[in-house]
Amino acid sequence: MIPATREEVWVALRSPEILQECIDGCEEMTALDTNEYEALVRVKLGPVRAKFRSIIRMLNVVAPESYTLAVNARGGNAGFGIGQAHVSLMPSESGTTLSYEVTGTVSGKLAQLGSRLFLSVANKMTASFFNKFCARWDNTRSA
Amino acid sequence: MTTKTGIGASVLRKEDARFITGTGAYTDDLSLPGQVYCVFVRSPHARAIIKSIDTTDAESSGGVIAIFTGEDLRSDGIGDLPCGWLVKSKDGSDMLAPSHPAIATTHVNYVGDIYAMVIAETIEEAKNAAELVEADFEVLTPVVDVATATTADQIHENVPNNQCYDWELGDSAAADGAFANAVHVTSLDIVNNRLIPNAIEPRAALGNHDAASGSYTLYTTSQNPHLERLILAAFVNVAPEAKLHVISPDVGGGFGSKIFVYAEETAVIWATAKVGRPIKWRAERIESFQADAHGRDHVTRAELALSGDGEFLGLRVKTIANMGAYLSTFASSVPTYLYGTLLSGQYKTPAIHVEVKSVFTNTAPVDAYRGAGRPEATYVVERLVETAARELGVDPAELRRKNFIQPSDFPYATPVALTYDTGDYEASLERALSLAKYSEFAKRRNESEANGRKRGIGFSCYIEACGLAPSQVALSLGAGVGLFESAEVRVDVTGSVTVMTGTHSHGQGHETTFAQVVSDKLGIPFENVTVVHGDTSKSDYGLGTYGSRSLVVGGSAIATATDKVIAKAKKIAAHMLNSTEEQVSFDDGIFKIPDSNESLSFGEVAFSAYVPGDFPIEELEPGLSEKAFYDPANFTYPAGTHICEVEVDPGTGTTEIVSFVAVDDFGTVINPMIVEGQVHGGITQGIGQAMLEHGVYDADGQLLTGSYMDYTMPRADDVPDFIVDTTVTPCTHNPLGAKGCGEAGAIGATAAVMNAITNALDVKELAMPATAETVWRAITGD
Repeated sequence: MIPATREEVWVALRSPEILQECIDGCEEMTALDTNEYEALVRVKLGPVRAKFRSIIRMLNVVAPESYTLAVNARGGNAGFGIGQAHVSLMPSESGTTLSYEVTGTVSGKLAQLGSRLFLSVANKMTASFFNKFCARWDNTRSA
Repeated sequence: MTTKTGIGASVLRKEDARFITGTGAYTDDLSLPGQVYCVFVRSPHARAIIKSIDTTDAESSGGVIAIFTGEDLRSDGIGDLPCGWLVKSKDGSDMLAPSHPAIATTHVNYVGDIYAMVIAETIEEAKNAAELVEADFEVLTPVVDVATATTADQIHENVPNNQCYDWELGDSAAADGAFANAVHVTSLDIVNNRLIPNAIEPRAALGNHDAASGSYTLYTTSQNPHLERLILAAFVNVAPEAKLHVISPDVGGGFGSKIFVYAEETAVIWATAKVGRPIKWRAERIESFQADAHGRDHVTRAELALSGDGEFLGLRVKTIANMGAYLSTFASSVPTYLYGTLLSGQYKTPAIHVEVKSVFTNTAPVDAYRGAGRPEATYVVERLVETAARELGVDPAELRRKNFIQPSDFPYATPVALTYDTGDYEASLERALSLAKYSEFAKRRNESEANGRKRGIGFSCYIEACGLAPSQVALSLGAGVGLFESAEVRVDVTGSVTVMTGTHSHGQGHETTFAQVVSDKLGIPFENVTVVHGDTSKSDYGLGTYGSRSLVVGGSAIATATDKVIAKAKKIAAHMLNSTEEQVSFDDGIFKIPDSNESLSFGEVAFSAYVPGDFPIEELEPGLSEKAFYDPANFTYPAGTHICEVEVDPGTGTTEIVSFVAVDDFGTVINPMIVEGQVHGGITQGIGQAMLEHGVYDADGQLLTGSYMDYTMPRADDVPDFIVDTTVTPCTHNPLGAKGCGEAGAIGATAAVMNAITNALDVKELAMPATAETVWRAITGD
């Protein structure tokens, strides 16, 4: 639940600065196109630490209701990560309800060492993202 | 001669002093001036087209000397890695072998397949640059499941249906006839789980090119340095054999996985001339999991036909064997000539037919792993026999006894191409029954039941064929190399002896065992015999160590060369004693003639051979050094009985092995302590397969068991104190009477453990590994 209108939330979700601020370990975030971003994210998956160069695409965009985030993360010798998050925004009495669903796979060394951990790490990162994202609104409001 | 160090004595191992004090010299301990480091860039995908590789950023990374791709090797005339055994399909056609470049050029075919090598001043710089190699892959759907591989996407363009061969052995009509007459048929669906070898020392290579002489030196973790040299010269075209020197220094375990010629040392030795510096590579454990040849991985349907009174009438076996993505060096022979040929077991089964389809999948190559084919065969036969006994309600020991080949039947020709020379299977069984206190098992089972536990007992009466031979038979069946062994026994001026062998010791204790043989025969102190192995410049030739061949083939070559030394020494002694060769006796290191108190020690004769004053120089050349090449007349056939007893906690599925008895017939035993150690290690690996180990790929071909977090190796607390004994029927056709002991534990144990657990649970089939979860699910039906 975010204390803002669906349109306000929608705009914020597409701002590279806000995205970078809310993604754990995100060192760079650049908008390549309206629906495409490039990010550099540091992730620790079990014993594997890797810097991922990620292409993030927004697919199935239905403004301001829903979209699918497709993440293609290249971790060099550590392997690849491919993830999808389906995000939907529903207006509610006190603001906007944001819900999401995460799926994904990893390959290479990441799979070899971290596949058991991958979904829990992906879920944790996503939860952390939305927590930070929601907290922004709380901060904005109290400020 | 019976001494504290001769044949039959439990001499402490010479090599252990350096191993346990950290003064051994393994490949990674060695360094050469100016040495640089190599890191391989490996595919994260199970199957993909390499659209492009961009090394620009990587090349400008700090400390980088060179980056090579598969194209660099190919354009330099470097050939594919070959498979050394050509198996033919039923229809007479040759097996289909896909191209296997050391570094992939157009496709990557398993996770871990190499697509680039990075060479830099330090290992860290090489790793950093490897991160910057950019490959553009088009990811394809991988083939992972072995059972359905023939109907999946085609991996290699020259291999339709992903089928390497469709092989058979035995008389199909006779087997069908046996089943038509059967009163009872026992059938089983068996999966022989994929294992990952995990030698304690990871593979490594240190290559050097000497520009002045144009010769190459490769230090590597090979069980088989002469074969490494042969393949790198003759097939891969690195350099002529005479310009290639391969050294396998101390090697920390192999279990088969270091027999093969791998991509890494091939690329390293080639690249060393390109960069003009020595190059070192050592696998990280994660690479060992990905890219060491894995073991086993069969899916089998097996049926045993029995008469009304429990006589075995026929056996039919259909197996699909996983080769992985490419053919490793001996992969094709493992599920055929080392598997189908062993399906007679210890029994007089008159009709046997086996079909093996071997298939490619997008997984690491699969090849020989301790036992190589024979554990898989034993598992099929012994699970079937035990199940048949249960179905017929007869004692499993009694059913085996009834069908054993008897001592009077030898030599015994099986319906699957082997002729067993000797054995006494009942002797091992009876000894094992006694050691396992089998007659009191029912009482122990009742006690367990009273305590809420399930107790089970299982047998495995295994046989194996060791010391792969003879060369001409193997060559006619598709082997690419001879299977003899060479030896040189070089007597020094002062009477000490240096023995050169073409076998290789990577934990087996050859420096001790072979010294015992030579010191015993020559009657000289054990300490005066030094065994040299693992260096192609020191021993003439050799086929290395695998298949429990070292003592039976290599030791026989040493014994033969030692006999030649004795024969020449007798001639010298005869001259020195003013007698004739026929008159001279040699015993316990002393040359004597009858009716005389004159005698000469071995050392005195040796001295005379090199300082030939008192020497028959007209008849003999000076010196005392002899060579032998020994080609065995047949395999050897170690056999025995393993009995495992387990107790299962039905609440958790936890299985404890409460007793494990192994009675083995290895023929003549040179060092009982070393043999016992080999048996302990083998049984532990067999238990590992049965209860703990499993190499697993997910549906995308990603290796899920790629570290010790997910791949469980057996540890000391997983195994009981073993009860080990031997019976002896000496091998009839080699000079030592020895049969080999290196693999027996791993061959026999797995079936015994699974027979015990299925007995405890009263279930017919149970998948390996029988982890607590698997056992618990079998109990609860969950």
